[in-house]
Amino acid sequence: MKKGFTLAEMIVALGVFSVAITIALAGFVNILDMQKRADAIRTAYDSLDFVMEIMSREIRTGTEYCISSFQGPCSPSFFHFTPASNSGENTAAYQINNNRIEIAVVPKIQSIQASNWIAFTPPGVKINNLKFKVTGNSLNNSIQPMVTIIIQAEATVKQGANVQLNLQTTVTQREIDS
Amino acid sequence: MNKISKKTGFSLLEVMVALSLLVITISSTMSLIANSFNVVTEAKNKIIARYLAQEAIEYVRKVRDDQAYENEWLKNPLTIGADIGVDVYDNVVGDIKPCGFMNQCILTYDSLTGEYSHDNSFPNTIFTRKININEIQSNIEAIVTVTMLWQHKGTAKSFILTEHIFNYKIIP
Repeated sequence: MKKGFTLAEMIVALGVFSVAITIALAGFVNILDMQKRADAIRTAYDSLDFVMEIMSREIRTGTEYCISSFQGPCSPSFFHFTPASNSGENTAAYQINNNRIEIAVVPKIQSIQASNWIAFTPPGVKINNLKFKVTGNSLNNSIQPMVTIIIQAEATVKQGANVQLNLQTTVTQREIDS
Repeated sequence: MNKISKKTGFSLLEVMVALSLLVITISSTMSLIANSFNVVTEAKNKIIARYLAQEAIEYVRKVRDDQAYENEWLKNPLTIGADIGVDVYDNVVGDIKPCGFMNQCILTYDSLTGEYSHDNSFPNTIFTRKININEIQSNIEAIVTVTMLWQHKGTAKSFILTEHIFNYKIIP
């Protein structure tokens, strides 16, 4: 006759259970959210690190900063040079367009067309500023060419929550510019 | 007849134990994730520090090259032994001075232009950058050591980059 649970016991048990499950769920949702955030930030950092690494290495081993008459003068956000690859027969250039860094590689005797530009950073990373500061680049001036590269970027991780990454590095031409 | 309350269902103690186990599991997972979040922020500081350290090395190389054109080696402003700072923005072509003249080698940041420098009219960053040049073979070879120092959540972090530079012009 007195087997099983009473209604009161059942309600208490359910109450305890629902409290516990609510806490647990809130915790897990939070964990998932943070994991997503961390992942998005890491992806953004990785791609920016990659772009900065490639640009600094290519410029360092390259020559003729802002020299080519086919490309016109450099501007703070447009930089061209002769990369060491392909026996120095190409011109490579970087620019910022639509909050993304773009790269173009063309034969040396050709000026860069709009169709030559390829996006270099992923769409999730917003580049607010790309700047090149070039010194000593005129040939045979007894000053070693040097370029300072600045990137100001942000990644949208969640609506309203952005992370910033501001990088700066300087490279000098490895080839001696006597 | 107290049989039911004694033999079936859970006692308060059991419920408490079960709940605390749940809480421990969740909170430890949470702290693990929070920790990985911290690591990501730390990775960001390391990326910034690495490029700023490389910048200092490159600038010293540039000055080495410029001096080599003049058949010189480790001349002023390349000071041997002392902690020096490099400002690639000073006077457009940059400058090297002892830390005492370079905002104690603390880097500042201009959020408008995105430039890191030692110009103390801008707010300080968490980073300190010190350069030390040590000649290990007279007129032939020197070691350039760049030390980046910063604080992350109250802990001191550092990153050290060294490069050997050689005198390729003067044969001793």
